[in-house]
Formats: sequence, structure tokens, C-alpha cells
Amino acid sequence: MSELWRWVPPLLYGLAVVMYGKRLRAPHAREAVLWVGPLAVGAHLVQLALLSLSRGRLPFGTMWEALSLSTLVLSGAYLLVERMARSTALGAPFFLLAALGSSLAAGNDQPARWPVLLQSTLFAVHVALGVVGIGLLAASGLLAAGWLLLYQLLRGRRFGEFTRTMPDLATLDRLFFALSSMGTALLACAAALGLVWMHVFHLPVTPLVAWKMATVLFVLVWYASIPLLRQRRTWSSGWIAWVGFLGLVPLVLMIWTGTRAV
Amino acid sequence: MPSERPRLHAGVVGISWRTAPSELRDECLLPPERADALLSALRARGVREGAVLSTCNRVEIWTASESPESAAEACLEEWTEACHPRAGWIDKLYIHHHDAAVEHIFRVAASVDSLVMGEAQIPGQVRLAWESARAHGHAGFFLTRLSQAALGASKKVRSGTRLGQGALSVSSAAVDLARKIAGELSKVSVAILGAGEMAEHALTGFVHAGAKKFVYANRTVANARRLQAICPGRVEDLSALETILAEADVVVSATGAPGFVVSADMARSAMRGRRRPLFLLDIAAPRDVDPEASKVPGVFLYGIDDLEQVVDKNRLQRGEEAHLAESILAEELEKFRAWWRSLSVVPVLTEMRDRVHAVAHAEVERFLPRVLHAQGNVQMREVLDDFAQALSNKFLHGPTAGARKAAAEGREAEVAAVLHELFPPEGRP
Repeated sequence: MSELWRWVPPLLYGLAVVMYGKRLRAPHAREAVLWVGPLAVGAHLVQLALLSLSRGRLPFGTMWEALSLSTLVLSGAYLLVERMARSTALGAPFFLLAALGSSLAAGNDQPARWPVLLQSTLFAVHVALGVVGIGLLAASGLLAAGWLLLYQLLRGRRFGEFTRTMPDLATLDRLFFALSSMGTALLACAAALGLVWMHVFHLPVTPLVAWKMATVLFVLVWYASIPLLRQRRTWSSGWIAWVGFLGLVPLVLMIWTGTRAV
Repeated sequence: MPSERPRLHAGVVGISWRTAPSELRDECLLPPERADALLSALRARGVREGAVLSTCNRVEIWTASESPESAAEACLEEWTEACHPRAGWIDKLYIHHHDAAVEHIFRVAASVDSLVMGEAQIPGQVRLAWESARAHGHAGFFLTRLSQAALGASKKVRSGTRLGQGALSVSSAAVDLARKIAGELSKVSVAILGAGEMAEHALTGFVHAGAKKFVYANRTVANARRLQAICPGRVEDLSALETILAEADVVVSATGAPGFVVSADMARSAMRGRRRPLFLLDIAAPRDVDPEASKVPGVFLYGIDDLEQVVDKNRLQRGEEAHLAESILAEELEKFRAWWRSLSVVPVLTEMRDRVHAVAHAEVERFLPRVLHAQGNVQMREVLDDFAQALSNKFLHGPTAGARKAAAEGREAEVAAVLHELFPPEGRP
């Protein structure tokens, strides 16, 4: 596969950031954003498919490739959010994160070998669920940030163009909760399958792996607290949104640790 | 058929909110059956095509005719005959001909000339006017093309600008804000405190916006029941206010009570144990809701001033967007003008084509005996070569002689340019 192909998704995500940012300033530039998001996601999908074909394996042989896949899930989740919330106001931050994630993945491309123990279906499912879960959790964190921002704007009586183009608070809250719940469930399944995989292949728990497991557990506990806090009606939506938004910190920590664990 | 199309010009005769009060506009209204009769009368008087746009803010007759001035005169007479408006109404009319008429129709369809700039209904009304005229055989190729071009431009203006965005009335601003906070209004519970005119007005706004679940509360329950006539809902006494606040997503307060009806403590108590935000809209004078309530987390308290701020901002923005809309309209108008200009050569082209066909037919008749007597491929080829040579000579004789004559008269550069335009050298489009 051409070396240049790796850089196509980050470039298109970058273009999407510019286009969506431009739309925030001039909301009538609607036509431009209609195609740039799907184009970037489509190109990313093709890039990962080509990578799979050229290397004869699934596109998560390294943690960087897994990060790229998570980025794709994040962008795909955004396109869904855009459709459901009928708003393009959150496009720029989503695609900025996608551009960052895919750039890191493109800059750290290694034609890794595919050790026998990684060839098991168990491992493939573990990673696939994990990357999708991470993508959804990142998306939920950004939605929580959007909720907090809109809340402040409305409380501050700032009824400008940005406020009007944002999705409503109820939709943001609903989507944030749906994505964080799905992400948490998938990540929990991925973590459980990871443990089973380690057990089946008798893999030792090295300090790095232990550290990685600890961060995964931390993220799981963090995000699992969201539905629990929602059940306890003493926590307002604002506090829960803060938990969702700050969840991006342990999530980034987990990804950072993960990229160093292989 | 193109050959039958005369050289048509657009014309507009109308009365609108800009020129006449609503009472006079009402007298000039042309409902469908009256519009049909008027357009039939106009066509009987030589106006080729016509359409009537009749809305509460404007009534206009659009025509397509060889002479828009005569068409305008006919419009005035027939309109007077149809409606008999009060004396002096003609002074309130505006009349546009030719390009000005086309531009006016574009501006109307794009809602740039509307009372509420960017209002969403006008393109639909223009479409209806055109479709109705077409269905009755009053609108032909010209008005069809004009209406479609105007509606296309309107669509571009709508998608390319924010002209139609943002509430321009206090009640729609309230609905927009409620939607922004509580989400889809069909799923939220709206409480109306008070039963006066303001409460009724707010209720109507929310009903039109799709809200379905209402609770009406008033000191006098019998008065609150009147609101049920506008939309069914539960009626409560104001003493149950704390429960109402705890249940509702949107609360509109317009009681006219001398003091605060909703205290900060009530708002705090309503928010206890709930995560949904509470939208409190205080449109009463004096105010019904203690301003301290706005400090309670999750409570969004707004008053009339806030809504007016939203409306002012939107109005300002629409004004700014108007420039953008005008530039889009100018582009689209130019496209229509280009099409209209191209119509002017249609009669010449039609005549030329008819002559060429006649020449071709005569040559076929002349060569037919030779074709029938040709034996073998060689003879047939000779006949066809001769036929092609004769045909091209006949076709080119007129232009060649004309070009030579023009060149001899000193117009060689002009004729060369025209010939290059009509017969571009090979390789050029």
C-alpha cells in the first residue's frame, strides 16, 4: 500500500475541521460540510481496508492501528449524531480529535508481524470491541462537553448564532448517555475477553500490562459511574456531564498506556 | 412549439404591504375562482399568459405579453371590474415592466420583499399561484420558466443564507428557547400559569409548535378551564404549584399577581430529585418569578426582555443576510436574462431552418431519379457525392454572397468575427 495513503484520512479530517469551523462562522456554507465528513470517513474506511488487504490481517496489528480504527468509530459516531441531532455545530471538535488520532496512527505506522497468539479469534474480537468502545466513549465525552457549553451559553443569555445551531440540551444529554453506555458495555466486554485471551495463551502479567489493565479498569469504573449517578437523582445533569467530559482524561491515559504496551 | 413563440415581456401589477393598508389589500384580494375569471378575461384581451399571487400581504397579477404596457392597462380594468375596490386604490398600485418585473418576481419568491423578511410561506404561495395558472391554461412557457427560475433562486437564497432563520416574534422566540432547553416539544410537559390574554397567546404558540401535554393553573380554576378550549389539558389550582413545577419541563407564567408566584425556594424544591432542566418563562407584569430562581442549577429563567433580545438579534442578522440574498438573486436573474435574450433569435433560427429544409427537400427531389437509376456502388457513390456537393453549395451560397457583400462594404472584421462565432475553426468548440 502506498505510504501516502496513510495520510489521506488525517488530511481529510483536517479539511473537515476547517469546513465545519467555517460553517460555525458562516452557517450558510451548508453544502461544503455535506460531503466532507462522509468523504473523510469513507476514505478512512478504504485506507484501513487496503491496509488489511496488503498485510493480510485485521487492521489492528499494532496499538496505533487500533487507535486509527477507534478514530474511525468516533467519526462514524459523529455522522450519526449529526443526523440525529440535525446540527453540524459539533463537527469541528469531533473531526479535530479524529485528525489528531489518525495523524498519530499514520506517523507511527509499523508493518508489524502478526504473532500466532494474536491470530486467535478471541483476540480479534477483544480488540474490535475495545476500539469501538473507545471510539464511542470519546464521542460521548465530546457530547458532554457540548452539553456543558450550551448550558453555560443559555444560562448566560447568549443567544447568538452558535447557540442556535447547537443541538438542544435534551438531545445532547440523550446521545451522550446512549454513547457512553454503549461504549462502557463494549469496553467491559473487550476487557473480559482480553483476560480470557491472556488466560488461554498463558500470558504473564508484566508491569506494563498490569499498568494497562489498571487504566482500563479505571476508565470502566469512571464511565460505569455515569448510569449509576443518573439513577441517583441527587446528581444534576450538569455534574454528570462533567463526569462524562472529564472521562476523556482517563480515556486518553488508557490509550497512551495502550500504545506503549505492545 | 418554439416557432410559435412570440417575443414576450414580463409585467407585474400589484398591491402590497409596502403600498397599502390591510383593509385596502383585503378589498383587492383575488381568490382562486375570481383569479381564474380575471385571467381568462385578460387572455381574451390579448395577454398571452397570466398568474395571480394573492396573499394577505400582497396581491399581484403577473403577465407575459408582447406589450406589457397594454397588459397593465388591461389588468387595471379587469381588476377593478372584479373587486370594485375603494376610490383611489390605483394610486397604491405598483406596476413593473420587462426586466423590473422579472426582478420583482424573483425578489417576491425569495421572500426578500416580504413583511417578515425570509418568511417560509411565500415560495409555497408562488408555486401555488403558478400551478393554479398552469392548471387552468393561463401560464405557458414564459411564466413557467419565470416561476421555476424564481423558485429556484428562492431555494438557493434559503439554503445559502440565514434569511429564514431565527424567530421574529416574542412567542416564537419563546418556543425556540423552550425547544433548545427541553427538546422536542411534543414530548414535554408545559404548564401555563394564569388564564389571561398573555397566557392564551403563549399557549397558542406552544400548541402550534407541537406541544401536546398541558397543565393549566390559575387562582380561579374556572378561568383556567377556558384554556382547555384551545388545547385539552389538566386544570389545577395555583395552590398545587409545587407539584406542577416538579412535573413540568416548561412553565409559562402570566398571572398578573402583585407579588412573586414562583419563589426561588419553589424552584429549588422542583429541581430536587430531577435531572431534567426547568424552563421558566415569566411574561407577567409585574414579574411572577423571583429572579433568584435563575441561580438554581438546572433552572433557565427568562423574561420578555430576554425574548426581545433574541428577536432583535435575529432581525439584525436577517438584515445582514439580505445583502447575501441580493447577490444570489443577481446571479440567478442574470441566468434568466440570458435565457430570455436567447429567445430573440428563435424566430430567425426558425426561418433559417425552414429554408434549409426546403432546399434539402428540393435537392432530394432533383437527385431522386439519378439515385433510382444508379447501378452498382460506384455509380451510387458518384450520385451521393454530387448530391452532397450540390446541397452544401446551396446552403452556403447565401452566407458566402452575404459575407462578400458585407466585406466589400467595409465590414470585413465584423463579418469575419460572426463567421468564426458561427463556424468555429476545427478543434474549437
